[in-house]
Amino acid sequence: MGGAPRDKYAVPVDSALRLWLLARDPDLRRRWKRWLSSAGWSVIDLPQTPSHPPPLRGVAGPALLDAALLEESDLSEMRKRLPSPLILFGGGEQATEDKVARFLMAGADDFISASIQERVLLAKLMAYARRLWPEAAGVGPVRWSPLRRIKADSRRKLAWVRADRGWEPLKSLTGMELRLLLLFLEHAEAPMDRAYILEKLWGERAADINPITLNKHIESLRRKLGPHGRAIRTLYGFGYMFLEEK
Amino acid sequence: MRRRKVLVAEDMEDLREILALILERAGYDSVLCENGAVAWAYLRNGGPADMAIVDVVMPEMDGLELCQRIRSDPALKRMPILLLTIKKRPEDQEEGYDAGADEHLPKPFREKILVARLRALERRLLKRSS
Repeated sequence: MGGAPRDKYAVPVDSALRLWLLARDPDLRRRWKRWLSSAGWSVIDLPQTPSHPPPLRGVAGPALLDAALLEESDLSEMRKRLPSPLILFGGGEQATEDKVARFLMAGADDFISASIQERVLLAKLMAYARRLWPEAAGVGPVRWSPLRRIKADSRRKLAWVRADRGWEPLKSLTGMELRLLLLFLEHAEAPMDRAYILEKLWGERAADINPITLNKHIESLRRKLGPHGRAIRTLYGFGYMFLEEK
Repeated sequence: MRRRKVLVAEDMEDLREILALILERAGYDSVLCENGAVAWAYLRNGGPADMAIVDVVMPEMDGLELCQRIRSDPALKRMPILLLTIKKRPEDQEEGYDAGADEHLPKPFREKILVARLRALERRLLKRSS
């Protein structure tokens, strides 16, 4: 699948995001720590006496807890000591529907499979981060093209295009090209005149900008979008419109 | 305490009715929509809903697009969204999270799992924010 999940779902290196991990299986613990650390999470091991974890306050992040080490009755104590979403994980007997339902009703915030794939785990944690700790995670509103072939995150200053094998990051976009892309996505399927585009991108300096400059940025953006660049339509004598072919 | 209202976007009528019954039994009110476009029109017109259960595959507007629209709307973006889907591949789950879903529930599902997931979502996102 295109685009390494650790890049796509990376949190800022200097973020305050922590993640507590309680895992019995050392292989799983090593594997998940590798995935999570590579995506920027600071992983803190919890001791395997689950009912007495050290109080950890003042930091943000979820707790990933091995359901094999917990009873439902442990969850209320965990909740007092960990100010975090409690995400339990398990497999086999720990992951029957009845068991999962009981854990969720007893206070777990979530239950995932111990055999979850890296990209799904990271996508899920980024979904948590977006909702609960957007500043720390450095995530912003994601704009999508109408047919979901292009998306861009204004805060993380990242954009992706859909490729055969998934999402491909657009690593070579300049800052201006990203802003232009975000403008097109925000106003997808609506004509924009040149004056409007210039004003949105350059503000008060718009009147001083050579019109050819905008042409060059658009041509460069089209090229970097590959086949998806055809969605940027020129409206001769007026401006541009972002319109994907169905 | 006011009952939470759950918006249900599901194109299969039988399943819509089953979901309404499950939600009623679990203490939720519901508003039923036969596809994403109807659900979006309801929300954009100020129709109240605290949470959403959204099917992925629907005509007119699918569940992923509905998620994206909800997440892009300043008034709606905090709404917890649970996706129902027959698609179980990891890349489908990833796509759902990317679109803004908070939870996935594969079909077919049992009532107790749906209710447990919904309660966990409510606790995690609605009670925490209030």
